Amino acid sequence: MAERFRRRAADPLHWGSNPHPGSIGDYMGISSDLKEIIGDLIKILTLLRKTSPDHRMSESQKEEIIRSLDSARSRLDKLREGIEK
Amino acid sequence: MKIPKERLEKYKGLKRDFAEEDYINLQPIQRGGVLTEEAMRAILEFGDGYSTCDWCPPKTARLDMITNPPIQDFYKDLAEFLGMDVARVVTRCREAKFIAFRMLGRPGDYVVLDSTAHYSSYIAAELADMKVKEVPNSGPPEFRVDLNEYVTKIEEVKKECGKLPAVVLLTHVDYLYGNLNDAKIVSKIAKEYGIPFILNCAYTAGVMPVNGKELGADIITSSGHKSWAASAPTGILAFNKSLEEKLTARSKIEGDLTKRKFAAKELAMLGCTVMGAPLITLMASFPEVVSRVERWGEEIEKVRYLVSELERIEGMRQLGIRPKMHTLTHMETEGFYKVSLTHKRKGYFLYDELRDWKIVGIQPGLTKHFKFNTYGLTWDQIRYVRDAFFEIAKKYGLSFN
Repeated sequence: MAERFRRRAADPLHWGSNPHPGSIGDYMGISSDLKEIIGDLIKILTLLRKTSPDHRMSESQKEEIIRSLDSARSRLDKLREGIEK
Repeated sequence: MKIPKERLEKYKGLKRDFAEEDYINLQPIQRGGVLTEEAMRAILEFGDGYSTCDWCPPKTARLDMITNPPIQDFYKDLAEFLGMDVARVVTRCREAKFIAFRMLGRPGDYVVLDSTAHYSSYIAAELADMKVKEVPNSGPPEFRVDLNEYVTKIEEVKKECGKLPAVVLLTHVDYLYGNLNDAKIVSKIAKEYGIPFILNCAYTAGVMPVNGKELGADIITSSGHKSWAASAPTGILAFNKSLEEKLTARSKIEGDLTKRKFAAKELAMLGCTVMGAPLITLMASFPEVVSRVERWGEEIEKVRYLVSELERIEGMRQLGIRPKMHTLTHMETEGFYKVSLTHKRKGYFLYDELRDWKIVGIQPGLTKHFKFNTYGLTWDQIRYVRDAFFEIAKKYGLSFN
């Protein structure tokens, strides 16, 4: 259901058709987007469990963390934009 | 009663002292239960109480019939993965054992079990009003269970009671020494006597390959939070078709006034069993569990390497059967014990030293002998643990072989 709302929110035909005045209805996918962001961070946590306690990382592990951080940042930006609209 | 606000403060912002991200945790019971990424994500979706039950009731109002999330499929896949016909998720391994004892035995009946069995095997028998007959082990240093002695103990029960034990239980890998027992020997004995054979796989299924059919088990019990990368409490009860009728017998009770009946409910499961975070983490980790058991060989390589390295330290010796066939390990550590006798922190010094290295899980206060588990640690982490022990040994003047 969350996915349906997310698709609907991403569909330009539905922009501006907030069915619930006062809500952020044009951004119904907010909760699933938020969970994706947490998912990006969980990916980092999982990796940290493999490098504890000194967190000496290989280049590929560093890249993986950077990819997850970038993904989280980009999703956060979109989420913020969605709320501000 | 109203509880004062200040007393409730301690329940806010709960944090673990030894997060897996910050420490290496060698605690023997914890390694196989570390959550996978998928499991952590799934908690976000299904952490709420009855959230797995959004689409309940299905046609039959029972947890194992729910198709979204795919609980029904999971139960089938779980059984297949274990080489069994039917599986149920229950609260803990001990509950699985209790259910098996209760449904297959009668008060006063015997359970024949190995003398390295976990205490919960005994208590499950006690709660089912049954008695236990223990199969001896060789004592130090191997503590090897003489599996052929199951015959002697079965015969003893037969002589004493005029009937056979209700069940035979073998602990696949024991919690004390991490000895792997050859289940096939006991299953053959149990089969010859026609006694149901329970294989307690709390430390094996979920971390190493276990195929109930190949091992000849009639019932497999296991622990989700110990070996399946699941949150507690989760237990697994898997069994063969031949025992399905007994183990999943339906409720027959009827309300005397209302005439209500609950014929769809499985009596021993008390209706629906585990739902929410424990079940959903077990399910979410399942793909990784299926794949990780194939890497068991490397886990054994790692533990054998660490043991051989640690045994270079004065007075350190692995107890239990050699070479290691499981990652749970028991070490005798005379050298560290000697140090503890004059150290101001006594036996706690080793724990303190390890903690400074951000290594936890060795029981505080123990230096004469202790247990650890290396399951799931990377090679770098294994070497880190070795280095820590080496440095501590050097610091206190212990010699090396």
